[in-house]
Amino acid sequence: MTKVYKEAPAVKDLSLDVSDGEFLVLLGPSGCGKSTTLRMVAGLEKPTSGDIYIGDTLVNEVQPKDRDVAMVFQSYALYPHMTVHDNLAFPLKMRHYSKEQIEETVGRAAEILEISDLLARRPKELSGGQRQRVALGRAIVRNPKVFLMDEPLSNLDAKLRVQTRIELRNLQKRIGTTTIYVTHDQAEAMTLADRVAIMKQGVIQQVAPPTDVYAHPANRFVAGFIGSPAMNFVEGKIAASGSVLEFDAGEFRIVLDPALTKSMEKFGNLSGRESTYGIRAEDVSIGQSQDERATEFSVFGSELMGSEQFVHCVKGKVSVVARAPMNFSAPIGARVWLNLSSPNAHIFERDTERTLS
Amino acid sequence: MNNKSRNKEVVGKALRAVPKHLFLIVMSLISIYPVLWVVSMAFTPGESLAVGWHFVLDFIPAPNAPTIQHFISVVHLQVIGGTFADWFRNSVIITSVTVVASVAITLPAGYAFSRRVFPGREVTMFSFLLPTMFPGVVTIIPQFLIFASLGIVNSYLGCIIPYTVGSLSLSIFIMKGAFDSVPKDLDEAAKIDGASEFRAFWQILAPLTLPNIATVALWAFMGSWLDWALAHVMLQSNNLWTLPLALYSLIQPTYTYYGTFAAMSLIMAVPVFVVFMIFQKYLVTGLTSGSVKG
Repeated sequence: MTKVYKEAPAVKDLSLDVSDGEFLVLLGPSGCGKSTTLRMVAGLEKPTSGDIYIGDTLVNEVQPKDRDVAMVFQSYALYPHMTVHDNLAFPLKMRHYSKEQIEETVGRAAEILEISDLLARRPKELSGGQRQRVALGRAIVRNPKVFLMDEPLSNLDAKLRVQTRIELRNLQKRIGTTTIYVTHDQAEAMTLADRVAIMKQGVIQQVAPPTDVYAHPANRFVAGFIGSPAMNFVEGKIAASGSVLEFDAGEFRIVLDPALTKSMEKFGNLSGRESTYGIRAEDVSIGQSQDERATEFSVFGSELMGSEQFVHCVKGKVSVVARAPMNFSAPIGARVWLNLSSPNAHIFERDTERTLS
Repeated sequence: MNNKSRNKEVVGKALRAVPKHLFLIVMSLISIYPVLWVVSMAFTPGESLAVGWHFVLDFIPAPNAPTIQHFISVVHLQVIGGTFADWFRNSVIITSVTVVASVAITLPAGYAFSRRVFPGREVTMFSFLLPTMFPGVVTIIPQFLIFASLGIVNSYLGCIIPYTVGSLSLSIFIMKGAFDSVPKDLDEAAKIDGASEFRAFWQILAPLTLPNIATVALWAFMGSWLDWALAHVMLQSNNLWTLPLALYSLIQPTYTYYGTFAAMSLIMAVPVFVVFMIFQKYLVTGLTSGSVKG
């Protein structure tokens, strides 16, 4: 499935293949064009240019009703005047299933989603979680080629959302239907996706499995968007010190890890290049005593997360978050030493923001 | 202790509601009182006003010897070539066609104005407001002249067309507002579920606007069932009269048949009353939900 859409703000030159049975998540901040992309696949919006294929069929001129896709909306879009049963039966009726087939199919879908005892109710008599299940039921009931989901979990409370996303993942694997899922929640993307497509301002930044996106972000935007707390960025330039590459942040220098240096080789001689050094909180080693490889920072605050804490440190204009064990004592204003050298760190080019490692 | 304070609260609330309810009771009495007179007249023998009845508690009019004679007279009423049966049938036909036509036009029109973008949409919406800025009677004579040239004066159509058109401007606004308040997700869900645009409109959207459809239907019903002025101009043959014209014929320059007049008023009010009772639940939601967003 390939699509190009060339109107300035929405979606630009997007090209994406989703393989059969895959769970692809479109992830990005609001207004990045992920919903528009989904709606174009559904046929609710027309691409300005480019082609959309479902299977081997070019569907640009195919009406939504004939595309054999099912969609779950953020609002669920249940038909308020129909019972749960009739909501589930509606897509089947539209496809002229026989009465017996409808009863059987609705019954099976209701069983899968454990909503059999709700069939006689109307949507307004259901809880948010139940409505969400009915919306899913309406999508799976007619066994479409593709599921399209537009932030289907964002109206649930946090606890239910976590539980439902695991169930959703299992359900999709069991049914095996190709799924395109839109969300702005990176945790959802990481748990659900076979591959994540990260979008920004209508342009896909990276398409890769969740672990790759986390460990090898294609550019600074992806690096900053994925992961919590967000990756630390330090501005500066690359400097050579003998045979070793260092990162010169002005007030201090970071010796680049040999593994990182090696992965930078393919970009040629980067010495002197204006760039950004990126490192995740868990890759920063924090200590209370001086260390020749570490830099002195002062503690600005800390967030206790339970088993661990995130210590916010500053030095001049540079601020860095480091993960520390819960018992690490870091009162505000205390001096700590951070070792920012790590094989898992990244270098991003200043102007293009692309990864140089 | 807690219970006591709660009781106090309830009593206080009730006391504060007293002035409001007193006001409502007085206003209701003022509106109902003339109706009591009409009822009393309708059941009092003779055609005179306030003769042959007494006042219960010096206040509520009641016939001395109740009779249904006036109702029988109404049913047997004839005015040169026209009978009560004719008039009743005329009223029913004209009103039913008007109601059906109004709903049939405003339902798709409201949908189109809400869901479709087309050239002239705003201008058209605004132009619907124009006729409501003039009093209805102003248009009767021009309408008569146009219809005369079309040859549809003195026919059902001569009433049905103006009644229907007259109800449209407000009704389309009501229906547009009604469709505006239905989330677009529902149209889209229906389309993806396999419905054509018409199906989505007919099976999903239209049922959700039922309260507003009821309002539109009632508006058209009242406009045609109770109209006198336009019918008086358009319908000249006695056998084409509607009920309001027949009612008016009971007021003669020299004599007024008050008893029969009252009985006929009540007969005409029955359908209005019944329709209101049936749609009451819908009307309250329809009037608010439709107009607020319109």
